[in-house]
Amino acid sequence: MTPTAESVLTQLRKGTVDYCVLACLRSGPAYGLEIAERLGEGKVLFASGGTLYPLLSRLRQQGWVTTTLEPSPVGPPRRYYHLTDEGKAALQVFTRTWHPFAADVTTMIKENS
Amino acid sequence: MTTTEPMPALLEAYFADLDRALIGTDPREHAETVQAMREDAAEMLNRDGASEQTAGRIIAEFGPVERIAAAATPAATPAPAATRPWADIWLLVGSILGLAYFIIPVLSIAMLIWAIVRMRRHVGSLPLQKAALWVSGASVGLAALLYLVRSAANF
Repeated sequence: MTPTAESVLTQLRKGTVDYCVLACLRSGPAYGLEIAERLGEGKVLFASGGTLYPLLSRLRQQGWVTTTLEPSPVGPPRRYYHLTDEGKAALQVFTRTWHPFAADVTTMIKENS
Repeated sequence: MTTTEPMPALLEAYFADLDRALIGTDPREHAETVQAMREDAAEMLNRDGASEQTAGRIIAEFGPVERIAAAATPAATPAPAATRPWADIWLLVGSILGLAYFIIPVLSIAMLIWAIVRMRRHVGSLPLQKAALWVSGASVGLAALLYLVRSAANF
């Protein structure tokens, strides 16, 4: 059975998007909409914006991010997500692992195509 | 507008659907997901106007509730309660009794056969069955030895 582009993307997102969210917070805290806008631009990392929220909750439960409520110029207080030291360490490990992995995948695809 | 203030009917219906779709997912993740999404929806309504049109756009951005539920962690199911292998416990008790009364090896032979049958069926607790097999075997062996000694003495 030939996989669809969406099914391949679903598999690829597993285990990678979490770290993209952490990378997004490396430059500083951000609230949900900001993160969704940054990550959802290409419509590749997320199937839909709503799928970000369970992921943010998991990251918080893992201790990789913390949250604070801060006043917003429009509307209710914003829930800002901050990267923790544990989250930074997890991101560093992922980054070190990802680069050779991605390079090997790219090489294999080129050789076999 | 705060997250507790009423939202356009379309959004309220969406969040009710989301709440239902998240049943069976991790309860904390469920609550945090709905709360965070309501907060961001409230921000967008304040920024772009609390109209049904904005509500429709927010829903389109969030995507189908089924997809969000699929991205959530399923609730942990409680581990099935460990059941005691009563048959094998009785098998071992029978074998020990057989050892105590090894002079009459009927019980030991019965326990030996029962242990072999249970081991061949691959059911119950294998360590208990093995223990019962050894104890019953020893009892039968002792009974046979006793029989041989008595036969030799009578001869």
